[in-house]
Amino acid sequence: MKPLLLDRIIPTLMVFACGACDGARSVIAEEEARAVVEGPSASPGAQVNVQHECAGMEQILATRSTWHGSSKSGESHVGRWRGSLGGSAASGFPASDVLLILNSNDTGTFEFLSEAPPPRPDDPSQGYLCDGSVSGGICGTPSGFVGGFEYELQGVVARDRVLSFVLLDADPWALWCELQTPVQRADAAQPCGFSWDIVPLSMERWAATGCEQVDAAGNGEPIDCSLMYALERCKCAFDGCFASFYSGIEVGLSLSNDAQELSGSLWFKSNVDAALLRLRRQPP
Amino acid sequence: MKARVFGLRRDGPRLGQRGRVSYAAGSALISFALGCGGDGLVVGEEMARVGDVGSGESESTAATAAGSNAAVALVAECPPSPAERQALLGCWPTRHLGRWRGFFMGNPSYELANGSVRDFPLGDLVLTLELGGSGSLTFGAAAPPAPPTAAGDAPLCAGTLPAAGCLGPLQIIVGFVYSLEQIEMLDADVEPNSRITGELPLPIGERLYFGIPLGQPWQTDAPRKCGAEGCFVVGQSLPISLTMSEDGQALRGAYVPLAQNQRPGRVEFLRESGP
Repeated sequence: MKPLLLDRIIPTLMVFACGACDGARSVIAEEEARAVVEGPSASPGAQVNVQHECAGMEQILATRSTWHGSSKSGESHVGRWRGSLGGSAASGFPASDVLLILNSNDTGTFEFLSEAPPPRPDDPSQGYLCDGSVSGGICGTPSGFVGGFEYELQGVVARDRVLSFVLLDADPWALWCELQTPVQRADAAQPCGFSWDIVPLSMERWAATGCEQVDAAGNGEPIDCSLMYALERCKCAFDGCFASFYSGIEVGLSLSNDAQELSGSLWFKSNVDAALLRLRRQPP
Repeated sequence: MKARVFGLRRDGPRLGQRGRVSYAAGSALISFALGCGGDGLVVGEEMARVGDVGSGESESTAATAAGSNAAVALVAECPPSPAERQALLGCWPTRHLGRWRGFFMGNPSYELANGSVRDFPLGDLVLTLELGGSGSLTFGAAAPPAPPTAAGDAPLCAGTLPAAGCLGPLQIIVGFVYSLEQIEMLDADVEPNSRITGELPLPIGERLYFGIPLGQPWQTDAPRKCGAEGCFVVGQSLPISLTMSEDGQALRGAYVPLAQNQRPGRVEFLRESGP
């Protein structure tokens, strides 16, 4: 068994054991506003209001817009920019043509101009935009990006000639994540004694013959690789699931002297590789 | 060999585990001469034969530099130090060499020895890594300050006295060509662990580490107006960690402050020339 598994499982087993000692049980009401649990962090018999003690989706998502820093850009970068990727790594992206739109209110979008946007998800039990390849899972493309999707710029900063922003790699999975159902587990680290995951606590395992989720006892449950990798893009609160916004791909572009070109490099998720990126200012 | 650390965790190349061979290794094979003078033996991975690596001036110079040296290393054993690399056939030159132009992203700042925080200067960065193993970094396009020529001509702290607390050495000087210290160049590798059990570990491009000695502009043989009491921060060095793209045209990384509550200063470079 790998240390990684032990790291995740042992604290959970301890929490379960603790919960067993004081006879804790958990009951989640169907109506979230009245959801009440009696958790391991509470004294015996105490009632804990889940909605009050644990952050819901609205509260968590309120931090999304500033998670990667507050946006503040200048006028010099505002506009519509179109260009292309170059170099050998360009093939790892959804398309070589890209479109960047930066508005004067510090919002904007970034899109790989492929032929069609991703299909609208309708089945939470089926994987979405992911695939199990010969060496592991690939979601979107090897770079981690999805073509035809308008990424909302986060943490936009213009400093001198440099424009930088963050693209949230899980954003294309947002609609699919919203279809998922939160899975509750005891979590002594949380004020209400529980946390909510997208799947029961387990270790993921990939193999060329298929994927598995391995529980604390070491029992493997087969899972579709596409589903397993797609689920990684989601986070949950007690009242629903959403696309994770905690990780992103940072982009930096330098403005030319004539303010007509932005240049830099676009990196894969995890900084595995990069392609050169040049964008030309488009007429308004 | 374990890489030295200035605030960052990193491991040197590991035997028998390598994602991609370095530029120096290229695709050439080297015959590994046995000590007894018998037939050549190809050991492990492909090794570069000096003179076979690519083409151009840099390779021939490297051949001269290493020509009298009989030491040969497996590519995976190449040390991080440029000086040590030059002494080993197949370890030099690396693709790190050349001239790079870059910039910081976001609102980058750096931490000083006294705990205060300063913004990195505006403007381009120019990083140069020489065939001789040295390197330099310049912030911004401004002309560097003139070196002092007399006791009363210390431009970086002009008009100040040590007792007044000259802040010059506490900050980066725009236009000054910093000679990099503790340069380390690592070959491409793979992550020590796969992200998900069973997957192949992610590849890691060639890496580059160095320190920017903040006090260097004041380390001159000329007389100094600012004394140590008021000006010098001995030994403070800003650590930069970079990773190269597979095509060798881009570097990306960060200055990682020691203070955990400070965000790393993200930086990236595009190649202008070389190696």
